[in-house]
Amino acid sequence: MCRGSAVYQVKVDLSNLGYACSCPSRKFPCKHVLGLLMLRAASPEAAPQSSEPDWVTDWLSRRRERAEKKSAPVEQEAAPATDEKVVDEKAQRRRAQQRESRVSDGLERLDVWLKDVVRNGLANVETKPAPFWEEQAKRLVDAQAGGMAARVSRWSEIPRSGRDWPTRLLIELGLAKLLIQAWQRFDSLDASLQQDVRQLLGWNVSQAELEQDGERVVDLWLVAGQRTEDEDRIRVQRSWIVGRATGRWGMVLQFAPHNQSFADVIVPGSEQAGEVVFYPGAARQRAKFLIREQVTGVADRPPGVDTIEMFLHHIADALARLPWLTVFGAILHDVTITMHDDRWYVRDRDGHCLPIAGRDHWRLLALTGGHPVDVAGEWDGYCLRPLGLYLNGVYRVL
Amino acid sequence: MEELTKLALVGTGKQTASLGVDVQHPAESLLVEVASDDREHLVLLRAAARGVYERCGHTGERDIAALTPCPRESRRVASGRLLGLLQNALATKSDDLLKEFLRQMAASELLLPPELLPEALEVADVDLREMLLPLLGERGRWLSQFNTEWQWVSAGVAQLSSTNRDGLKQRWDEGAFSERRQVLLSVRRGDPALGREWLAETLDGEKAEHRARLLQVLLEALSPADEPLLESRLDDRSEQVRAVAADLLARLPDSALAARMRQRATEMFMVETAGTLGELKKLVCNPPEAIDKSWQRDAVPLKPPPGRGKRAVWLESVISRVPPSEWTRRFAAEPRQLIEAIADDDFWLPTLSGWTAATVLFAPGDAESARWLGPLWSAWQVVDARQRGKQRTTDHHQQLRALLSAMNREQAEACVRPLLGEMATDTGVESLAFLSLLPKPWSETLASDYLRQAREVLARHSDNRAFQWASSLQTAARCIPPSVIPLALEEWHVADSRNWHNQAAEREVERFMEALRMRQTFYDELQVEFS
Repeated sequence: MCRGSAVYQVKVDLSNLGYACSCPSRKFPCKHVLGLLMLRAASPEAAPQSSEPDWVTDWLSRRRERAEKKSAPVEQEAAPATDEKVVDEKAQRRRAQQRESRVSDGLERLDVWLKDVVRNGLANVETKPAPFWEEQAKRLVDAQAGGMAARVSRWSEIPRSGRDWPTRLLIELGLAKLLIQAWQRFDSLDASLQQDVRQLLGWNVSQAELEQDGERVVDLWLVAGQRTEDEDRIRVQRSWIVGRATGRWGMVLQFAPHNQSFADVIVPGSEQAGEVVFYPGAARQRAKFLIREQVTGVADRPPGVDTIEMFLHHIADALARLPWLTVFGAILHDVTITMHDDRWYVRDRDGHCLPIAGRDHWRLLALTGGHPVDVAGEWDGYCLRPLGLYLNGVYRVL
Repeated sequence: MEELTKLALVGTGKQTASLGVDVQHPAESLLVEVASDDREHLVLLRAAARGVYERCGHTGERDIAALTPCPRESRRVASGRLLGLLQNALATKSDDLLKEFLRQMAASELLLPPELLPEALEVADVDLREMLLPLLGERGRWLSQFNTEWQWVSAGVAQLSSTNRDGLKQRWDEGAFSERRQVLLSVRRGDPALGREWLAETLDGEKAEHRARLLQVLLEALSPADEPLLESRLDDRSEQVRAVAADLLARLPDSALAARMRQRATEMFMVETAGTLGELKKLVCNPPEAIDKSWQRDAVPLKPPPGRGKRAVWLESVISRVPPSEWTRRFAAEPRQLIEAIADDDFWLPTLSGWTAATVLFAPGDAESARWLGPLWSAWQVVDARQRGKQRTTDHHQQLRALLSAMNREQAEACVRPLLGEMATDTGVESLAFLSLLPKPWSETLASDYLRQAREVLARHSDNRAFQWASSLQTAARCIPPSVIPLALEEWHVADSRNWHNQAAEREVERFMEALRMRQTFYDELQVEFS
């Protein structure tokens, strides 16, 4: 159909969707790259695995060099500031103290409000409109406790969400209260827990802090699943990654305004060698890619848990370290999809089941045909949200 | 936890019971250190402790049975790009394309990819369902058992199981009009008597337009058993409903209405013979000057529409409900002879129209009547040629189109193929509309003739004709048989002028090529599946 005048070298890096082509087109990506991607998307088997030609290896190594250069200047810029550091540090400390007292004030007000809610009864908030919750969230944003604000704004969805909403809401309110309590007794906490509490309340971890205090783990990382949620004015992307050798799970967060794409392209189902840094704290759930190398060859079976019981044990361990964790990534080996009374479940080899979020999983059922498969998903303490599926060794986004 | 929730729901302000930390509870006991007299403070912290504790102790549910896994497929399953193309056709509701794909898949004994099954099972169109059925495979049949909406798979499109009968009844009782019509159609296919019963129950409550359109559904599996209901509808207030009932009754050769119509029709014609053998020379038509109420009941309009004579309208209305085979038998003459014999009569035009309508109505089930299609086509061609330039010819075109749509492929192409040359002239371009009425796919001969003509027109002309031909490419894209696609994909030249017609033509050619490439890809992939 398309008879060209020359043969071009077309390359796409599937780990982050970088691309290049030797054609002279001034459109980026050019039609050759798009064609290659569409071919790959439509029929993965049309692009057989083979060893990389030299021109691909060269290109990849050049890309890596450039990527490393890009991240390097941050450190260099940070370095020359030493001269003015004395002045800076003073101002910084003052600003830090200011923020801490603002957060304390904000949490105190929230504490009073929580008290009111419980005194008047949860039945009263059942029919409250969204602004009732948003107002509290806004106050917390003003108090520079953004993490707590996000927590509060999620509460508006709980009333009337299901029969057990009062219990769910009460636990959420209780956990907020527990966080306030933790802040008030901050000095008596373990150093690692202090890190968590600060992050939960809304302190950002700077690049320097992350590199200094974070835990670095080199492994072969699988992107097991990805979810993007709309929050007030921004989109939040959660990518669940798991290391083949260490079995460590990480949650990579990215934020972007509504009309923009995320800074890093993280492709669900991809697998790459790389270094990940876990945010300091007791839970070490949130993570960030430091170095990502190219996608490796044919993937073996993904790491995962063989029984639901084992998975729930892991969850219990994680919660014991940090009770405020809300979501967890998982790959469950050999589960079947089943349904009962209009509700959907994954079922393991022991006959244990976890409910699946949502009501429409016909595609999942059609793909698996009631046979055991490895399912990747996100557990929120109540339901599993399937994000991906390993079918005959090929990952499918759900 | 329950106790705490109850307390929190009502509010601590309305209760006085004391609530200390439960020191027996493994998680709550941790709170002793931070406990205070503040009741709200206590409730919240206790809820947090218990909540986390219970989340940690969460166990899966254990008494839910596994589904019996789906058996292995015995046939090959389509994959890769076929999936994409099918998905696209389903999502864009391109029924023609989808049907072509499904036909090809069935011929290759290929099954739908599992991923597509939920969408395929949602299809409501009865014809599409029939085509999908052999492509669902074990996986599709297995999947369909879990959704009551998909019972048509196990029950068969035509058969009605008792469970989906209830479901259909509910949709019949509560659905929107178009859905109800669709439901009635499928019930009618499976159980004609039940369909009639449902219809009879509600018909009086519907508005006139809906009455007419629902009654029309009885055409599916029409039988003498429907006569009483249809006969009673001849007393309907609405002329539209009466016309539908009369048309349906006319199709039942033994119905009372069919007999009445035959009687009225034969009384209108007299025959003049010549020669010793009594050869038919002339037909004389003499419609009545007045009609009575019984005619009106049989959907013969008492008052003609403006601009037409009442006798002509009565004539046409009556003979359009009499099988044309009646005339060849009664006068022992060929259709062509009869058409010639009426040519000099004052009522020749309404007679021709009536015969045409009757032929279109009866040709599908009556070979003798179908023999009228060709001669009538020729007759209207002559009328059309004679009248061209004098007045608008849309009326005649309508007659021709109706005849065409009742023909089989061979007949229809034999009628239209000779017109291709004329369609390429400035004045004959109207006839292009015939192309969309031809049965699909076209024969190789017609398709290549069409392509040759289209290439010539587009290369030479830059007027409305070029635009009309370019528009017809969209029809051709659906109708060209697979074997002729390579020919169609050869290069096209559009006359090089910058006017609007040519620019539009270029776009149409591009769309045409795009659609054909998609079909070609599908055929290629089918080959790949088997290589």
